[in-house]
Order: sequence, then C-alpha cells, then structure tokens
Amino acid sequence: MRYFAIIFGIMIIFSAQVVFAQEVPPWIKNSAGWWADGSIDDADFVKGIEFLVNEKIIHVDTNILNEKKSDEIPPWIKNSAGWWADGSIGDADFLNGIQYLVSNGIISVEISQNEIDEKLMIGSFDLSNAGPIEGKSDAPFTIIMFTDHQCEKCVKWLIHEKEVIEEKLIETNIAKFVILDYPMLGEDSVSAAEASYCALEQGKYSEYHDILSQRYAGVQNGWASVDALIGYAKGLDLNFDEFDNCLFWDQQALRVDYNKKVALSHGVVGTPTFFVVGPNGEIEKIAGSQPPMIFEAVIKEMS
Amino acid sequence: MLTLFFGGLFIPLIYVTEYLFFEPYLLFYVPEYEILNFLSIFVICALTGLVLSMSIYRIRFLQASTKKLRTGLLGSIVGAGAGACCGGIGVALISIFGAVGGVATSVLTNFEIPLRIGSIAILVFTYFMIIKDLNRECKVNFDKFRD
Repeated sequence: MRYFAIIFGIMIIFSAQVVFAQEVPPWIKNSAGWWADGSIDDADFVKGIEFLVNEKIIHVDTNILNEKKSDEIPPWIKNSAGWWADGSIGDADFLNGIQYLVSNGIISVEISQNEIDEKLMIGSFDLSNAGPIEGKSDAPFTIIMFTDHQCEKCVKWLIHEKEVIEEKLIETNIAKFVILDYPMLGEDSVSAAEASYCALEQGKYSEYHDILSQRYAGVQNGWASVDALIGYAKGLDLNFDEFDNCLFWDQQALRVDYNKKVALSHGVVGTPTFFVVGPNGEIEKIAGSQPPMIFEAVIKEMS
Repeated sequence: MLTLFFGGLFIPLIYVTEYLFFEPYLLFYVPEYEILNFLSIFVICALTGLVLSMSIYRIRFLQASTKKLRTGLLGSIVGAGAGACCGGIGVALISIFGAVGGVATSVLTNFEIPLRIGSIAILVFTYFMIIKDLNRECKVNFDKFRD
C-alpha cells in the first residue's frame, strides 16, 4: 500500500509532457508536497519514477538516458517539488528537475527504441491512449470521434447515428472507429472519462460506455458523479474493487489529460467533433453531430 | 421586418444547435429525435419576429415605451440560449466566463425544455399585450367628426 501510494504520488507529480508543451496537470499539485515534506523517501521516489517511465506513463527522450550512477537526489529538486506544490514556481521549472534526474542517470530506464516507435499513430493522431478500435485494423479509413460524456448531442449521435455508421462503414471494412474523450463540461466529464478507461482495463469499455449513454441526464447534476459512476460498474461483470480503486485514485487521469491534448493540438473546440483519416494520412474534419451520409460522402471523396 | 428578425435569429440559432452545418458541406439536417426541439426553435423565432416588429412599429409610430420590446427580447434570449451546448458556443462561454460560463452552460442544458416553454410563454404574453395596446391606441376617435 505504501509503495502504491508512492507510485500514485509520483504519478500525480509528473505527467506526460514531452510530446506536447511541458505542462503538468494542476490537480496533482496537492501531492507534490508529500515528497517535499518527507512523506516519501528518495529511494522509493527513484523506484517510482523508473516504474512510471518503464510503463510509459512518463515519456522521456531516449537520447539522454545514461547508465545508472547514483540514487542520490539533489536537495534542490525536493525543494522544487515543495515550491511547485505551493505555486511559487511554474511547471517548466519543476519538470527541469525531473529531466536532470533522468539525464544524470539517477533514474535509469529500460526502454527499447522499438517500444517508443510503436505509438499508435494514425495520420497525425496519437491513439496510444484512446479507447479500443472498433472494426478491422486494416480498414483503410479511420473515423476518430472526440466526445464528452455530458454532451447531449454526442450521446444522441452515439445512440442513433453510430449504428448506421457501423452497418455501412465498419462492418463492410471500409472504416474503423475510435473514441477519444475531450472532457470540457466540468469535473464529472473528467470522472466519466476516467471511469470508462478503468472499465477498459478490465475489457468492459463498450459495455460501460453504453451504460453512460443510457444514463445520460445533463451537465454537472450528479448523474456522472464519482459515486454514481462506481454504482454503474456494479451491473457489469468486472472486478469491482479494482475499478473502485482505479477511479478513486485517478489512475486514468494522465490518459484522459493526454487525449485532451491530442484534441487541442488538432483544433477541437467542441463536441462531438470527428476526423476522417484516409489511408495516406489525409484528414477531413466533421464538426457536430452530422448524419452518416456525410461520413460516406467524405470517404467517397477521399477515395 | 418580421422576416428580417425571424431570419436573423433563426439561422444563427439552428447553426448553434447543430441543425445547420457549413463544413465539410452545406447541410441542413434535423434528425427524427430532434423534431420537437427544432419546432420549438422555429416557434420562438417566429414569435420573436412578430413581437419585435410590432414593438418597433409601436415605438416608431405611436411613441410607445420600450418595455414590451425588452420583454420580447428577454423571451428570445432565454429561448435562444437553451440547448446551445456543446459546440463552440458552449466552450466559448466556459472559457470566457469561467465558472459563471460553466454554470450557465449547465443551466441552459439541464433546463432546456422548461426554458423554451418559458420563452414561448413570455413571447405569447408579450404578443397579446401588444395587440391589446394596438387596439386601444389605433382606435379612430369618431367624436371629432360629429361636430
């Protein structure tokens, strides 16, 4: 439990920032102080960082990975954690400290070049942290949907229009379909997104996603609160304690945040927003809950 | 003038509520499950056009007060705002107004139907009040011609 708390504390100190701007989600600042005030010791901190990098939760530049020399962490980095936790310094300053630990071999990682190259890229979209892909993986076209669980139009589209897309495009191997969450309507949207990925860990993503669509009841009115989300999982055949821990400890928060950055980097400003990616990487944006015939027309034009 | 007010409100409103799209193609699409929503928007825009044009007539030609114009506008704004989630408008509200924008989006979405009904009620009430005033204000005084 202590080791888990350390890992979680480290997880919420650091975030996947290398691909995009050096940002750390503000919600993890509370826990940065745990290490700064000595609740977590240095050796456990190093082990935790190594775990996070090896599990690809933190992305680092392989060119700067050195052979491990020492476990000793300079005191100024711990000071930085405390200053960052109380807002005295910005994200970039704090992350420089982490980069120092990696560059100087205080943290050693074992990442093969192949693993880093195997990010799931379709067009310019990094789908490494997306939901499961529906349809055949060799389908030439990809339909990517950015959605918010509290978005009424998104829910209605998934309930009424997606089945036509499935029949005409997915089942005929013309396209595959993937969902990324872009939670923008409040904290409950983030919680719902995390919950769906917690269900994904146990292979119940589609079932849980369907439950959320059926239970939709508005924006920030409690239907997607953490307690409610945990309650919905009881109806599914999954390890409830594991799901509960996953949601309670925000284990999927980094994943949700990563997908949000994918959305922002492609100019997504509302939901639902779709992108059709062609076999040669060409992209067409479809904003709003448009009918399946538009998707067919776009694919036909791209063919 | 009625057509102008109607069109000026209807087209932006159906764009915001995602019945009219401009990319990748120009498309006007109302799914079956959205018919009632669309009809409510149509009614609100029609009543708005009616109320605003009649109010402006009264203000210009009868030197009436702007109170009923303001009431009509209130009804229009309330009805127009309901259900304006979650395209760019909703995000713009949240990002510009922060927590207040978030609450506004939440209220406009969660109470979309009551807000539309309320808006229609305000506009109908305003319409009948204007009709009543017009009947009174436009009466010809025949007594002047008897003498």
